[in-house]
Amino acid sequence: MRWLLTLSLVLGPAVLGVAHAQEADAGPAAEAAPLVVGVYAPLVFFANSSARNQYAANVAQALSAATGLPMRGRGFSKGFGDGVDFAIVGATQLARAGYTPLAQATWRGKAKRPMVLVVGGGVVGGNIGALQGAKLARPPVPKAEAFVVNYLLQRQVDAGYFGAAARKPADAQGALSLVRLGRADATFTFAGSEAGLRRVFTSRPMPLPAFVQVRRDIPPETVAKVKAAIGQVSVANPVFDGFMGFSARVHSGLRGALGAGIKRSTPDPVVATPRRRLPPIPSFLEEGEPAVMLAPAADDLHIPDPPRDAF
Amino acid sequence: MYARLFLAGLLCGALSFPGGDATAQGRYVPQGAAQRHFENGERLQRQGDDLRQDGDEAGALERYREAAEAFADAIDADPAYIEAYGRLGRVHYSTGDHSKALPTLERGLQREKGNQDLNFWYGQNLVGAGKVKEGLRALERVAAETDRFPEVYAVLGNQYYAKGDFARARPAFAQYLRLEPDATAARAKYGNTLFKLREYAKALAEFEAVRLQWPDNVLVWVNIGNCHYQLGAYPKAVETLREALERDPERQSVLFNLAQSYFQLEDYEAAVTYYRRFLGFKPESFNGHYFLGSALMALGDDAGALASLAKARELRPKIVHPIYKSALIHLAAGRTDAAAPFLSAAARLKPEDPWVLSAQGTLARQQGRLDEAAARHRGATERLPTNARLHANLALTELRARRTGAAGVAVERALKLDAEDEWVRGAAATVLASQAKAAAKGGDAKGADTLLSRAIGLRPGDARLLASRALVRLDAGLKTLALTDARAATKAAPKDALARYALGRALYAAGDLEAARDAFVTANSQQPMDSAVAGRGAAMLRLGAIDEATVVLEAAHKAAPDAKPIRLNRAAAHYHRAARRLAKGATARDAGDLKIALASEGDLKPLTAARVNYAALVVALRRGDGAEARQYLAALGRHAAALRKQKVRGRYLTRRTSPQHVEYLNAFTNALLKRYDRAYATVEGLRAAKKKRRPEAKLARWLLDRLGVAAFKAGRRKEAIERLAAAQRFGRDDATESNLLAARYPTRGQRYERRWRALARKVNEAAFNLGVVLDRAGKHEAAWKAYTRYAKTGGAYAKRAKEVADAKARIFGFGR
Repeated sequence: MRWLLTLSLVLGPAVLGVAHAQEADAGPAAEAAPLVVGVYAPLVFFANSSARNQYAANVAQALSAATGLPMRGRGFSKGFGDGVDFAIVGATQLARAGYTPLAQATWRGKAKRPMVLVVGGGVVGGNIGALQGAKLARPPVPKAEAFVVNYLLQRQVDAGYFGAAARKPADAQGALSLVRLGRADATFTFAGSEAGLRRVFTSRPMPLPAFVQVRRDIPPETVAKVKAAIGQVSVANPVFDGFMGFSARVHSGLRGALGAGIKRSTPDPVVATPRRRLPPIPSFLEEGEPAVMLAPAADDLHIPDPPRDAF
Repeated sequence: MYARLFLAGLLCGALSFPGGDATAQGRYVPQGAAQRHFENGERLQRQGDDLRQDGDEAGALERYREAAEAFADAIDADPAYIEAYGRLGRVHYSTGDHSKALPTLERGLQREKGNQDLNFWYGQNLVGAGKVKEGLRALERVAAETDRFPEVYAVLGNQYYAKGDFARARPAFAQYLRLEPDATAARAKYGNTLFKLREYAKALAEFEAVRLQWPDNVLVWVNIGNCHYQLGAYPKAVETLREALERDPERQSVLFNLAQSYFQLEDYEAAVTYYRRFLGFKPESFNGHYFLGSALMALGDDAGALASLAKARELRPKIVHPIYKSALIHLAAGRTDAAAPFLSAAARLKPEDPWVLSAQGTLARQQGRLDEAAARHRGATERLPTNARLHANLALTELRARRTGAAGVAVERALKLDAEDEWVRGAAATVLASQAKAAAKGGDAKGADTLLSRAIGLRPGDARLLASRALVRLDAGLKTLALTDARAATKAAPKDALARYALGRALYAAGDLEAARDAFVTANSQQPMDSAVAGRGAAMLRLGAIDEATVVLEAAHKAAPDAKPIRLNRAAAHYHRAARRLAKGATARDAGDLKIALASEGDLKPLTAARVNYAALVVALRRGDGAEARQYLAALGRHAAALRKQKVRGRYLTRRTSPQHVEYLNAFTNALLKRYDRAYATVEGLRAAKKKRRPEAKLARWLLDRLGVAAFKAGRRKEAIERLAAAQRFGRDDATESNLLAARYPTRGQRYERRWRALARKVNEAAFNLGVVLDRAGKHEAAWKAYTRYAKTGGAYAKRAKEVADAKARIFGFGR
């Protein structure tokens, strides 16, 4: 470009005319590459990878229709590398990856949805207390133990409260399969995707996935268009059915739980406010006689009016 | 003064009388022819005398001239016939041919120089010929040599009178009247002479003697009236002049002098009547218009007066008096702008006139130019230092300029000059009372007493001055005299508020508080007086009627917020109202009372201020207001220091009070301010803090509890354990025990679960802590119960307890 600019300064209009002729000869511009929308949310139940890909494609199509930008959807079961521009990622991934969140997934308008502990048919006991030592198919998330103890069970149990399943599942469908197959006693999944299994515990609400910008060099106007459009997308899956504006507050509890050590929490003792009253205040006032004042004599002394001027 | 001069000028006409006959003396034997001529001359002279007596002047003159020829013939016949010379001189005198007589008489005197007969007629004719000086010299020689010619005295008297030499006329007439006591005309002239010499009493005696002889002579009445006038006997002057007027109703001098007499009697209406009658005869009289204007001015008829004075000014524009008086009329009416040009005009005519200067001073005073006024009044006194009023006027100006000392000097001079002048006395009373006030303000009550006594001397029976003296006498400690004065004042003016107030003060000083209170009430009803209200409040307070006094003083303070005695007594009333309730406990009303009292703290004496601050401190502490208490404590410290420094007798704390009591209050204040460390440091050192039942010990325990809790919350467990353990040593307390357990947790061997379980019945936080112990032990359900129980108490940690209990319920399914 600098060369062209230098050349145009030296040759003047004739060269510019040549350049114009060359551009006119270039023909129609090449079609732009579609933006890739990935889906990697292992806690979100999809029946299989095709269902996940279809879901991704549907979201991309909806976004493309809304923005006019070419888009393509891709599902991922084990994370994604380069080539993804935007993605729907699980809350546990979001807490670690450093993506730029653009929108929050919602279920019936809410940003969170409880997870449930489901057990297989051979498991006896109807609560957490009865499941101590049971083989738990750990949720397919990083820091799964901290996620379970600190967040889902609110530090009310010690690390290692549950036993470990034989395999680590890749996603929710995998974890549920382990339970159904009897290779694990229990697992955590978002409510609504536990079909056929017994629910024994419902956790506090868990943040749903987020829609994020993955690639950093996307033009801002493109990002703005996508961010504006994603709120309009209402492509449902078993866990969430739409998007809303992103709020970090939704994820703060989860982030704290994942960042802390895995430890059961008990409060420290507290002190009682001292109850004793202050002692009485005795009065030893020497009241004395009334210290009164009479007007100074000088104040009231009468001065007769001078006689009228006489001449 | 002007009137007197004028009267002197108007002295009515000298009573004339004919000269007496000269009597021939000695006998000489002449020649026969000469004797015959002489006898013929004597005969003709007698005929002339008879004719003159009969009124035939022409016939008389003819005979006298024939007699003169006969006497001339006698001298020719016998030049040594000296008696003939004398007779010739006499008849020439009778015919008025004085010049003819003189050569013949001189020839005779050459022959017999010492002949007094010749000298007499020589002198008479010299005077008749206009050679008065020589004639009088000749007559003086005769008078010096012999009394044989009484007439010579009459002639001398008349001549000197005519010349205006009344001092020489006086002895001449006196000598003549000794020799001729029945000479009425000469006596009248003598009276006139004495009048001219201002010896009015003697003149009056002579005129009275004349009146006996000439009772119908109007001039005699006039002169008697004038003598009375000059002697100040105006009623007699009026009486006499009215007699004169009956005899001569149109005599102008009588009308004028009568008007003047009425003027002097201050019967201005009568004076106006006679001035107007006088002006009817003499419409262009300056004096008539001037004095008419003066009388109308005295009657308050400013317009009439100004018109008359204007006429006077028109007649005599160079005379200052009507101009000056016109200014005075305006000045007296307060029309200073109108007065100013007249006074300027008067000053142009008489720049040195003290009265004009004084009036200019008064004008400046009325216009507020006090330095100028003082300078002019001072100038007036320098020009006429003997006039008391001028000094008194200067005194009033100095007083107005607040130079009381200079006013005093001036008024003393005025009194020295004329202590009887009512105006001077009035001015002096004003100045003396002002000096008394200044002395009283300066604390010199005795000096004020003396000055007021002098003022009372000038205005005897003045109730307000008596009342004032009563007040300063109270200041001087003279209670009995003060009461006497106050009673005299009240008697003199029963409805005078100041007199009644002074009575109240005197009764108050005498200890009769109820009577004093009543007097103050009466005084204030007669005339609203802040001092009386303050006195009433003071009496009520001393009578113990605190609530009523508070109401009265509160209302008075609203009406007069700057009146210090009311403010101070109001403060005292509020203080005592609160102080009396202090034993019963503190209320917001007490705090309000004490705040009102403290609003006047600057006016209170240190002892009272200390008492009020102490009471306020106690009330603030009882109300738990540490911030206020700190202020009162600081103020109390200041006042207590002042009491020590000034060695004031009296206490603000009762005798049995511990000397460390205020330190206890100090610690208490810090406790309320949550400065527990400082508070504990103070109370820890108090002896009473060692005795468990004493408030100091209770405060120490209270502080240790809080210090322990604070240390626990700050994570200083060791300190918390020390503080709480120390608190427990004052006596066991469940909360303290629970807290101490918490501080020690989780030290082994404390049997926390059992102890907190026991304490949980009395101390809510013990239930929470029980939950903690159970939770740590993995007893989730028991812990959940303990947390839940605590959460229901709504205690400080209820939210946290509920969170934990809810988590446990959710996780473990408790409570479903």
